[in-house]
Amino acid sequence: MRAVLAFMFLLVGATSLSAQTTPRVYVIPTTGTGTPFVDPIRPKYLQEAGVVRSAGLYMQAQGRYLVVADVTAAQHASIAANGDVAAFPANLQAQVGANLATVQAQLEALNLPGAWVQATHTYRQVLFGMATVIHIQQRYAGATSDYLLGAGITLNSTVGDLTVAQRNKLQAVAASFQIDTSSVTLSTTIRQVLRVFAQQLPPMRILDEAFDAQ
Amino acid sequence: MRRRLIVCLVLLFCVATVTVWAARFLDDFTRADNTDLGASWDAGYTGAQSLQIVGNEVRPLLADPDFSHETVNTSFGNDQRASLTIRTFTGAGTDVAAAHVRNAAPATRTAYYCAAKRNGAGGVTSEIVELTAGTDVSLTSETSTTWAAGDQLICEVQGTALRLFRIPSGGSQVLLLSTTDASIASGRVGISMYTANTVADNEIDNFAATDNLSGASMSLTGIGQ
Repeated sequence: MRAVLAFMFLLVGATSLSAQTTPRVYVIPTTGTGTPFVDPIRPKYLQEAGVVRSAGLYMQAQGRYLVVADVTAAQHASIAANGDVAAFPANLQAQVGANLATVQAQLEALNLPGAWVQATHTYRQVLFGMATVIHIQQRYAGATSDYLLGAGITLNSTVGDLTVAQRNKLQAVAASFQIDTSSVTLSTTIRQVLRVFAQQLPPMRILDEAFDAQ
Repeated sequence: MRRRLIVCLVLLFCVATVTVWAARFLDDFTRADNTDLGASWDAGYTGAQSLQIVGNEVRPLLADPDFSHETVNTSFGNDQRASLTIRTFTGAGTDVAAAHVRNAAPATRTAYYCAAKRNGAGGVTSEIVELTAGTDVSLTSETSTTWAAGDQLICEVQGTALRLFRIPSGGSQVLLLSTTDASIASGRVGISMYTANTVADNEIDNFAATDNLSGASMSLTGIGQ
């Protein structure tokens, strides 16, 4: 009798362990048409995997989300198996280390500055750097119905390459966040501008995950 | 006896103070049936119908493929909290009741909104959405809440932080979802509703809003109940 009870206890324990979720971070493409209430633009693969709770930063120009999702091991395996998904390590306090070149290249591919990342940075610090630049790009797009990058403007362009109208829009974005722009000149590159702006933004929390400089 | 009376009066004063300062706008919709929400509200959003009042409660004007959307036509500070109470949430089809913050004036449908959903696509039951020129972009969602009559939905925006709370009927406030977005910096508060089949399946009441977030989010509890 005791053996049966012990076995059932173990079975229940194993079942609950297998269903346990942990927050994982992904860069993931979008799906959905944006039709109100019926088919919103949303992160791809999460609903199909049965994810119960997720939150993301929307990168409109890149057609991607930076997503935090509460996932089981099986859900994570299913999501990460997709070739267009980049998964961050489970331990965000781990240092980038030998993955430095890959991390930098993936950021640049998303039109996010990558050269600032060093091997000693933790993935949480990388996420914080990404999220703050995404915020700058979101505000620019939201306030101006335009993208900062594109139409000949890259991360390597300078402020002097922008039209006067674009410079004014950038100035308005900085003002809306109360960002000090005194170090920005006409020869400052866009990647430098984004970092200068982003470094003045506060930490943030998405679901239960802190995006900060720790 | 006198001491008890004083204690009671102090308590009453505190409750009244919390209620009064917490909400800058309150509407319990206790007035005649109408096909829009009245003088304090603006309809006229592109592609959207007005909301209607029936029996002192608010419903969509028309069912799918239509949806309804109105905003309060007074200005609010940039940090906002909006709340509504679900009165009816039934039927076989999808129902959505949403509280809006930082909503543009008509006619452009741009806002953040927090939605209670039932029978929605993908099983989503709660969602914070960035609405940009009529396009819905999901920022965060969950699939585990069963919204019911009497539940209160609270939507909050503070800086770039967005939060969705639920107060179940007779229960305590729970933070269901939180995320961040920087696209929309300012705007109004409002309501949108969608129902797939029958407009009477989806009714809300007691809309409250404030731009003073210095108190606890609980401060809206009890308003208009």
